[in-house]
Amino acid sequence: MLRVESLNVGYGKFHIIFDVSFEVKERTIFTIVGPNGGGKSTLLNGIMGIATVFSGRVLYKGQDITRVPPHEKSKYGIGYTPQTDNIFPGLTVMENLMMAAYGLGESMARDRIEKVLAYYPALRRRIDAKARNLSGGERQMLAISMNLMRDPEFIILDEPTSGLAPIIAKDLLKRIVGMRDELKKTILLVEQNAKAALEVSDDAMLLVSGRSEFIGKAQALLKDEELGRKYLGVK
Amino acid sequence: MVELSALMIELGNIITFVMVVLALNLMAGFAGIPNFGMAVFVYTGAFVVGALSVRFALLLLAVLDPATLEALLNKPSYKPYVGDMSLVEIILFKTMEPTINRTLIPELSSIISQNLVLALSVLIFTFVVAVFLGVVVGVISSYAAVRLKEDYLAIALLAFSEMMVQVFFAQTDSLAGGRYAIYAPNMWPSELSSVAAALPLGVKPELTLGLILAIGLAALTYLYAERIANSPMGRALRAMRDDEFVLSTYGRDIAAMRLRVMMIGGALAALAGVIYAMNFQPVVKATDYTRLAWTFVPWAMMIIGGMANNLGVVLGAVAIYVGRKALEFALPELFDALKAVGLVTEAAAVDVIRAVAPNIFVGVLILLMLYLRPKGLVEEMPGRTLGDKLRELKEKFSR
Amino acid sequence: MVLPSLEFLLSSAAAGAALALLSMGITLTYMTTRVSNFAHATMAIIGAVTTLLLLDRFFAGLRDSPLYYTLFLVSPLLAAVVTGAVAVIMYVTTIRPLIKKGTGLIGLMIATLAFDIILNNLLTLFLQLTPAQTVGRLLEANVKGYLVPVSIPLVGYMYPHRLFLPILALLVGIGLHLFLTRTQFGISMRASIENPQLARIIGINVERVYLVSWFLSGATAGMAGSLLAFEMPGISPAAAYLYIVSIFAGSIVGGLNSIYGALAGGFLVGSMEAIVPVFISDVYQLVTGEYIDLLRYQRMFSFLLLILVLLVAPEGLAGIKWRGIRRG
Repeated sequence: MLRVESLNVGYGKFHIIFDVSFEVKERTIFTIVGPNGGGKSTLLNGIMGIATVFSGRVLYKGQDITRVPPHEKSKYGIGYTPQTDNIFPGLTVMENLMMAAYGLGESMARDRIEKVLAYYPALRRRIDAKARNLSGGERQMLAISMNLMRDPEFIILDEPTSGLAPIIAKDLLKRIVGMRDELKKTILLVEQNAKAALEVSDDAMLLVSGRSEFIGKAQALLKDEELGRKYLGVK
Repeated sequence: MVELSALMIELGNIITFVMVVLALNLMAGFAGIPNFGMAVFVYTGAFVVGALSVRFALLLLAVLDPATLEALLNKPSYKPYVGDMSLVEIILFKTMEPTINRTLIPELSSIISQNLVLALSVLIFTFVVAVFLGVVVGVISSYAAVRLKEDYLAIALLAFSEMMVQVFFAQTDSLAGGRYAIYAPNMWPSELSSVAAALPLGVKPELTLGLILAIGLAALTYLYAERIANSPMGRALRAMRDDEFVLSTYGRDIAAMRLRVMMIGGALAALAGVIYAMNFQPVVKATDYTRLAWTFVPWAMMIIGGMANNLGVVLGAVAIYVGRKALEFALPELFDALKAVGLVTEAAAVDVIRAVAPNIFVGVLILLMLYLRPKGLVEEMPGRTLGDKLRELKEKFSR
Repeated sequence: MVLPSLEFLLSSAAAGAALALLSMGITLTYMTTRVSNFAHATMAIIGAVTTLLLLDRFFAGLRDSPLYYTLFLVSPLLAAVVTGAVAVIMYVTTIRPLIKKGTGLIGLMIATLAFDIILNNLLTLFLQLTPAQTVGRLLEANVKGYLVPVSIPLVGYMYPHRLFLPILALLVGIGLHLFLTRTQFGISMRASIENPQLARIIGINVERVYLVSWFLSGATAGMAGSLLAFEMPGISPAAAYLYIVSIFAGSIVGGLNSIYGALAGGFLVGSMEAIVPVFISDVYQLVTGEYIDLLRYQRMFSFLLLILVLLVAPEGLAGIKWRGIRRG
């Protein structure tokens, strides 16, 4: 569904991502893991068009979207949730969801909000709370819900579990699996929390110093003792 | 043909602006402190000339020559204003009264010029006190400059200047004339005036002396500003402006540097105010020291010349001043031409247009510069010496 | 009169209400586009001039008719349209291109100062060029002469605009609150203020939000100026140069990052400016028996309040975010 072909990405003069290629297949979870500073977020920013792409291509359903500006990517059915600043803290949960449905039309917006709340019942209980008063897990739920409002086919999540307690992180990952199986989404995930994420993923890539060290089945990466020990803190 | 004395006064005005802009450039261009309250610094110097020097001269006269002072102040025409006040009380509280001030200052001026000791004392007093008060205003401003971020700081400094000059001084008549204009006294001893009078210029000798002093001080200010710019402090200031956090991690005391630059800039701007009020503007009036004239126009000069570039801002000062004046003089001609063709009928409009056109010109010029050449006509040349710059300019022109 | 009369309190409230509206407007554009707009006071004067022209052309003949008082409904609206348009022109021609070029905060402030100088001088030109028998006369005259005091129960005779100002401020405050919390566009405005990046990703037209915020800011300034016209001893564009300090004071006392804070801060500063000098000189007269005129220093009080809030009590009015204002 999404194909990245020998992508070189950076900021200004700084070259960070070197010749990375991979493919995300429909209705799978593709996870990018790797040590801090390995360029995971930069790679996503390159795909989204926020960082500078020096060379290479990003193809979505066969269409070249490398130069499509970030805010227009949603029109292609790509939903992106950044790692931080992914909600409006001064707005209520309801207002946040309304904003995410901006321009969809009254009835469709209501319909989508209903669907999303059914999926995340915890948010319904806090519907009139200011987003800044939500717990960390609720915030991420809200951010992902906002992503779902436009019903994208392809979802990009940047470290959704960072800063969450392990049990909440695990729950969140379960819901991401649910998004693949029940909502039939394709998901590109970047995770710090490598072991837990790989356990629920289909395919995976290990990104070290801007280069891909491994591409293949997530289970295979989990079982690779050498890579696991070296980069992922897996015993 | 324009008179020579008028030309010299214009030149003096340009030099005043050059000094103000160099001071502003030190604070805003090099140190990044958005001083939107420049007017109060300039007014401080003028205040010393109009209000403090006069009182100092009179008090000193009370010591040197009590009889003359008695004759000067004990006038029947002053009686309705001073009642039975003592001489010291009159000096302190009544000398700014417009009726008294108008007759007192010319008489005092001629006394000063005849008394070498008095004249030199008043001159020295004026410059020392102006520098001191300029530093004080700088210290007060730096209280805000150290604590506030840029836009809040700009608002605070603007408010400070407006309140002090346009409200406090402009409304308090007894301090420095307030709503009424007060006269600047002559401070030149006749020994110097007679030398200047010997020059075949046909202008008042005081004007010649004032211009020589102004040129000398402006040149010193320029060299001083250049020295700061190329010193370790100048480099640290630029670094502070560009990235304060990084610099503070290297152990530089940002607060102390801001304080220092506001003190130096304040003193220089006050000196410019002295030069202006003493020589080129015969009356001192708080309401003349507007934000437009002494904050906005210097900012325009600095932006057009190129911030953090001493040579550039000097050129900017000259260019803007000349441009504004040219507009003022060209407009009536233009109007006559338009009238001849029948496009304009209202004759009275000329005065209004003469008053507003130079201001609109500066406003438009600033907007265009911000958009087209935000770095100014002459870009910042980091850490180079005056010699380097002159050489570069020479090469540029010889090509 | 150490105990102030009701009329004095009402006129002070009117001054406070006018400043509340103006501080609110300056805060709005600061929140959306991070621009401290020094041309805001001149917009109020433009609103005042619009009202005076209206008065002179259409309402002077109605003086004895009850229809005369529709002036207070018509003129703020008309002034709002005029100044709203001026603000939009300012944003589109000056501010937006500079923001797109990446001009810094100080550069933008200089730009608003420059625009203010242009606007103020054009206004001066306009007033002076308009034939003397219309606007020229208004420049000199005490504008209150155009108004007939009306009798109000419990208060006695007073000028009607003083009643309209607080009502207008209240209506605008409530209206703005409803707009920001109940309409999708209003909520999208808050969203764009909080996180413009995310707002763009989501597909909110942030550009349009900014444009509307400038229109609203200019429009409220015109409304305030329209009623303030009757409070001024005469119309002088130069009055804007001092008034802007009071407007910023109200906005900063209110926190510069809160619409409601600005309304409260503006009201506080504006009414204090009217009350405190009179109160102090009354007390002084009571104690010493001498009269001192402090009213001419009234703008000093707003300045002192501004400095006090900025430097000494950075928390400002309770519970306002002050992070990121002070350095270090």
